[in-house]
Amino acid sequence: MKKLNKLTQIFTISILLAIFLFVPIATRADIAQWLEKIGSASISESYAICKELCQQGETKIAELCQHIKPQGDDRNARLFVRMLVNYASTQPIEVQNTVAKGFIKALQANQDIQIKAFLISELQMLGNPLAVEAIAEYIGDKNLCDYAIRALQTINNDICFQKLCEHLSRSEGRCQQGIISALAGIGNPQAITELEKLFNSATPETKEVILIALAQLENDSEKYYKLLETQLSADKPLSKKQFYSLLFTQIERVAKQSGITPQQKNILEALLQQAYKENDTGAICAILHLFAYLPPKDVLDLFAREIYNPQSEVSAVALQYLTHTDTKESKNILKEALVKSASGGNTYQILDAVEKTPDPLFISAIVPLLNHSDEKIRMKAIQSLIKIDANKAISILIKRLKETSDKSDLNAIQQALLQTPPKETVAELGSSLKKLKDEQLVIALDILAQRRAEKYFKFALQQTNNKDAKVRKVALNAIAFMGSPKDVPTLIKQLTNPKNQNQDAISDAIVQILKHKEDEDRCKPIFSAIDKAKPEQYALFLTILAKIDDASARDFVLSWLNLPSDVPQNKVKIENAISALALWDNPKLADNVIAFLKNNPNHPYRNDVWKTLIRFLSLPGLAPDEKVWICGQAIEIMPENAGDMFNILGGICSSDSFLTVAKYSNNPQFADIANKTLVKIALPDKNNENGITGRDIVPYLENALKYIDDTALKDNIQKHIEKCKNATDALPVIYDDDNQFTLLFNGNNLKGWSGYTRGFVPEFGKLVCLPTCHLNLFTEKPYKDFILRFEFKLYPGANNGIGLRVPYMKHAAYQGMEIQILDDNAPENIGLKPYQYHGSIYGVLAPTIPAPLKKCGEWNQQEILLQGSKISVRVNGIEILTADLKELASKPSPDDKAHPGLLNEEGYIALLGHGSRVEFRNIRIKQL
Amino acid sequence: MSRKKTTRREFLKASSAVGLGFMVLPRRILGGKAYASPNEELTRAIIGVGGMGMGHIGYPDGRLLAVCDVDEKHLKQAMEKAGPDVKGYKDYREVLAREDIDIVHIVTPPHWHAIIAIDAARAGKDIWCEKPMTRTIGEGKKVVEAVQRYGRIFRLNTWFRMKDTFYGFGTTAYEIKKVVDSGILGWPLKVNVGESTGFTWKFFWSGKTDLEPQPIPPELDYDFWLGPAPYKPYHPHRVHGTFRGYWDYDGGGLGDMGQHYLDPVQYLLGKDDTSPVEIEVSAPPQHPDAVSSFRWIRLRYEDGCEIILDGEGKPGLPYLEGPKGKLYPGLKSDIPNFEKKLASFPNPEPLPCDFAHSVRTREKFPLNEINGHRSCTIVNLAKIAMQLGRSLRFDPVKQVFVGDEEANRLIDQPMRAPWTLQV
Repeated sequence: MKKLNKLTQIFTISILLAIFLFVPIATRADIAQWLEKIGSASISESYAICKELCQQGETKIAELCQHIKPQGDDRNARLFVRMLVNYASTQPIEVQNTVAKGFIKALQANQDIQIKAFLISELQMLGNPLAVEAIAEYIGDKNLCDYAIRALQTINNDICFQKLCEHLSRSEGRCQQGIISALAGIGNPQAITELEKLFNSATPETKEVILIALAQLENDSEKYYKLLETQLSADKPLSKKQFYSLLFTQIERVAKQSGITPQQKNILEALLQQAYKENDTGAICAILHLFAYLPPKDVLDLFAREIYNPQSEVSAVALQYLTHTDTKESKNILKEALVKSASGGNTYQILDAVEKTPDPLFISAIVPLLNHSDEKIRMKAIQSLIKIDANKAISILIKRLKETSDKSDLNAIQQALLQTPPKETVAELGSSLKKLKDEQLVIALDILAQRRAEKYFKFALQQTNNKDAKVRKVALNAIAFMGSPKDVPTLIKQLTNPKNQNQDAISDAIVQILKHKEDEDRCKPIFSAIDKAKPEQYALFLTILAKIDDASARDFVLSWLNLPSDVPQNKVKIENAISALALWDNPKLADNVIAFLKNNPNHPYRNDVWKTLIRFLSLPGLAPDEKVWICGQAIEIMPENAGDMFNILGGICSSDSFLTVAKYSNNPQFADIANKTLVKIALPDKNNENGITGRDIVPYLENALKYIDDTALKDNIQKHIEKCKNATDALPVIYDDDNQFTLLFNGNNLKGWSGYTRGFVPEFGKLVCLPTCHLNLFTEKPYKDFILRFEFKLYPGANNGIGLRVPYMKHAAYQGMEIQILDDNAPENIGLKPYQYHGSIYGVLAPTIPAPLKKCGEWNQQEILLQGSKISVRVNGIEILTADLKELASKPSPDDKAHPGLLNEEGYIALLGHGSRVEFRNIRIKQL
Repeated sequence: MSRKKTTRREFLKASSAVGLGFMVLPRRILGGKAYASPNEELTRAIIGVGGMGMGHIGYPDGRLLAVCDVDEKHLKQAMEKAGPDVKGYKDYREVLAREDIDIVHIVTPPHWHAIIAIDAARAGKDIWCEKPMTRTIGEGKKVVEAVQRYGRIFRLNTWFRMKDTFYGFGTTAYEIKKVVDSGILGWPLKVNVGESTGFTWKFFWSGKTDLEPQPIPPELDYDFWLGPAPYKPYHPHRVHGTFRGYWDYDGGGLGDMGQHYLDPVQYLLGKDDTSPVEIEVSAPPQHPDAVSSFRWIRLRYEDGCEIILDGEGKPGLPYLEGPKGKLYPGLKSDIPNFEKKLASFPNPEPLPCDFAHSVRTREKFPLNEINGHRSCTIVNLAKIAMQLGRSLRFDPVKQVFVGDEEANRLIDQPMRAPWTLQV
């Protein structure tokens, strides 16, 4: 035993040794090889190479750096180094350190300045602490300090800052100046003391750099002022541009301080006089800015004067000061300026300033400006009024409205009166209506319409007969907004008046008013009008109903459509109903039209109704499966017109439409068109998009070849067949139902079902569980052993369930059992318990594999078998769960809840609403 | 929860208080041209004249004097289109050195925006910058600092808060602002930005991971094109029309459309001076180099308002969801008598969209460096959450992530020498 152990040990060691010796030799690619590869490698490939290199350590990396040459083609070496940095920056710190160490080795070993600079830049991109340390070594190197300092400024962390500070006094000349600028760029105020310390011993050039840096660092010390003064009185003062830019940066500091000292004030006053003399606008502005920090009483007069400075930039500074000051005095100055400037000057700018320091005091000065000759100023004055006092502005603007006929004034007043308080505006405008001229009336009516001022409906209605065409137009638009349901009878009277020229607009107004009424009886006035109407007026009202399109309107038109056609008096009503359907924009009516055609095989207007059906199918709003269902039904109902439907089906590329058409592929009446349609559905279009593939369609396509003459098309079909032979199945599983299956849902109504029937709606041959439904639908009788097959369609986040052997109206998951229906992939369903996903016996048993669900919006097939205590679930042909119920019941359930229902011998089948839309169809059962 | 409504006027006041006091710097002092008088023609230059930059040639608000590009082919095309009086440059710094230029359009890929914007501000230029404003949050902070320090007028090239039909609405954002301000939806609001509310996330702007290096075309200075971005081997898919697919330069469809979609959201919610505090993400793991798609990204503000960036195209979502009602594209609502109720509220203040006016009067443009940086921050927060694939907490005052060092490293990202941000 012992011996064997030892032998094993030796064996293991030798194997390890072999691996150790062999692997490095075998896999350690030469750097030269990598260099060759890297030039043509994709990012992922280069990262793989970089990974290998990093695993071999820093020495190897340094070796790589030796390939960077001062002369000659070293592009790949440089690229390799850069990719190494890119790779490392996606990796943990250990890898970054390895790379840094390699570079540092190379940096120290190499003597060439350009190569060193390159390596410093790459260390900068790396930016880890090791890199910072290494770069800092070169801060004082007169050849490399530019690179090193910029690198540290760009990395910009605490160590960088420290390193720069450390070298500040040690270095000199360009390097020192570089450090100073970098410290200013980093913006850490700790640098201030260091820089101040340095100042006295610095060269004049460096002094300038220090002062600018201190200004950028927003230095605020007395010492700084002294330094500045020294420099100003020096033999060689700062160049002017720099001086001003320093003054400006200083403003920030001054603002933070309590004020300007008398000594500083004297300097500034002297400088201002100088600037006036030289007419140096820039300097005047700069100094005025500084004056702003003196107490207002000392400078208000100065700024009041400067408002009138012909240099717009100076007056702008003055105006800004006065706006910012925001006191009674400053406002009085602005008001005076406004009055004075009205006869010429910077009125616009003053108005702008006034807006920013709003006060009712300005109103009397602004009102005259509404008549100003300059349009821009008039517009500005209107906006200013609103900003100052929106309430007071109302009567001023309405007064102005009465006076003006200028188009842009009118538009500006209109926009303004929509910003003022609506209630007050409407009241005041309403009481002025009679005094307005036509062009003013247009504005007023539009405002009242936008405010839905019902009180003035009658007035607006009168204006629909105004002589002026523009007023008429606005008034006709306004009645739709200002009318309320109680005004509808008045409008109906107008509508039926044969002399009225505005029938279309009035009809639209009625629609508008009724459409927004929150009331199921909204169409009542129309119905009673129809009762009293002459037949030639029916069309007027049915047009309105078509546009309102609520349930009562639809019921009404369908009731006329379904009137017995053999009664002569009905003829006109039926014709009107069909005409109305022809302009009804709701494709869901296709469902009703199909029912009509089914129930009236000998109706005289069948062909007209068929045309409305085709139109509905062309409108947006029907899901593809809904269109397919309609077409399928229509072929059966009116085979003589089936061509229309095959055409439509040919344009819907889905397995659903394929299967619908496939039913007719051997039907002698339709075989030709059906097979051609199948080819159209299955083959990709010109752009090689759409089309369907799948093993199951192969026999259909092979059969279809017989009906195609075009050889090119035949070739394409052959190619597609070959493609399909290798495809994974894309068609729904076609279960081979025998004739013992009966439909549980007939596709038309809820016959055979009970429970919460309001939550489940039959439409287009499917049973839709509404998103508002939280209750359950039960079969009318109980079932014991059976195979249940059905199709279902999920929407994002969908949740539902199939209750099995449930006692009537009891809780399915516990008193019976529930097979879960769920959109497993929805974000809100991530992280559920395994026994809560699709196909689980809810709370009891998870499926063995996740259900192979199709995308939301596509139909899935499911089969549930229940025989004695045996249960199994198949989704899209794949079994995902099989179990023995007795065995499950004998153990505690994973949800820790009691599931006595597992042992039920029979019970109802239920669809379990859960507040989301799910659709079912072809629900069928075979009792065992 | 009550809500602070900030009018534009208050906002401007507040933003100037944190900036340079009341001050507006006259340009002459900074070495630029003197103040443009109201009647004087403004002058402008375009930096970056690829597909987007060519469009800027026709923009209003001034006479074009210069165009600039690191691709000679682009430059030549732009000069042909712009006419004989327009000079061409390769190095944008030469454009900025011209004293006779008032406005600079920055139409480069986003990795260049911050550097050029800051240099332009230092040179005393006013700035018209393409979206997204900056590629990182740190760069955005620096741009704000520079624009304020040098008293510049800044605008972004998105305009939906001010004018034009707002995607699926058939109205301007102004109409939606009215709904929000009226309070009839209640507060806080949830905003869904996705396919079904009219906003597509353009996931076709994805990067490729298997590109083999190609020879650099002679007309392109690739090194200059990369500028501060890490050096990676050239492939035509990385530059020009398709650069958005790479994290080094932008952030896919989110980078392309994000600020168009989200700037109006900040305006609507009155969040112009703040940012979300929580970001959650569901996205496939991202390649370190190439951008792909996301399923959804949720950003939550302190007061409970939320923005959902929906990349899955969930159907039927409302655009705005409040405790009292929902607003759908086309300005439809589930609130009874919605339009009538809305008619009883005053209209909000219209926002002018006149950059020349702002340049002349030195009045802040309605979409400026401050609110522009904040709306771009949403894009950048979403990008970081996508890259890291995890939830994040953000401090909107300090503008740093809370307790996430790795995320904070994406706020400031390394720049390749010799480029650095010098405010």
